[in-house]
Amino acid sequence: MNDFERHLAAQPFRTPPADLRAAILAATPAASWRDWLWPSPLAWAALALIWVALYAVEAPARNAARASAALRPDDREIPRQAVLAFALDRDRLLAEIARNRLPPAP
Amino acid sequence: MRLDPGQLYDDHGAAVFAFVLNLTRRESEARDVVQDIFLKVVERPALLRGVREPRAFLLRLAHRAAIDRHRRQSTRAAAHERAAAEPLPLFAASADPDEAAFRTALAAALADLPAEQRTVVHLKLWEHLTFAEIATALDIPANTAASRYRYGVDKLQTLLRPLYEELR
Repeated sequence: MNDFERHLAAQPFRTPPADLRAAILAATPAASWRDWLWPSPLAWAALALIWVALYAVEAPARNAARASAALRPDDREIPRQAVLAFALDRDRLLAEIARNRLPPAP
Repeated sequence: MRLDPGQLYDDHGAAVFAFVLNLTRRESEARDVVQDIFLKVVERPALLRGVREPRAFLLRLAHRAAIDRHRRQSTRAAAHERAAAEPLPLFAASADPDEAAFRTALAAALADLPAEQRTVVHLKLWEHLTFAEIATALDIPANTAASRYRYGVDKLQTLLRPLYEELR
């Protein structure tokens, strides 16, 4: 670069109109959810893969638990059986009392 | 991280505006082109991903946008040519009358150059790009960029020699 070229290069251009910056910023779209996700799409994809993997690993265990739960008696059966046992005991006690009843007084 | 449009403009806005203004010689067109490309980059930050020199990239976008715009408005090409031939306040004002006269003459001399030469001269002198970088930005061979620069600068030197000799 010779002196003439250096002299040209030293000439400063005029500045842009003052309102151009504001016009550009005003036209800029507001932040959206994409702006939050965009910075590390690979990290988000990796996280999604981990979730899928965890689901895949956990699904058989969950199915097994569900199957064993189906084989267990329903918790609601327990009070019903207790009531039945209580009723049977009561009947048995009444029958015993009836058998041992004393004869009526003369 | 979200691209900060204010920071992007502060870093490169003036340079891109000067380039487009020198290219189109119309302030309204330069405004539109600068606004278009900055919005494009802000809306699609991926465009700048992996870009080592954002300035050179924005200048490349600006060049394409200016050319596309010019083609779309080809019916008004004659008006553009007339506008290009008119002196434009391209450079900052100077308190020194000699320097001010030189800048006015330089703006007029740049307008005399073919747009291809003017583009390369601008990128070389005011953006300090290498011929290889100019070649990439303009999609031309580096040798072509170098020859366009040499022709352009020679013509500027011929047109501005008297004023330049006075300033020295």
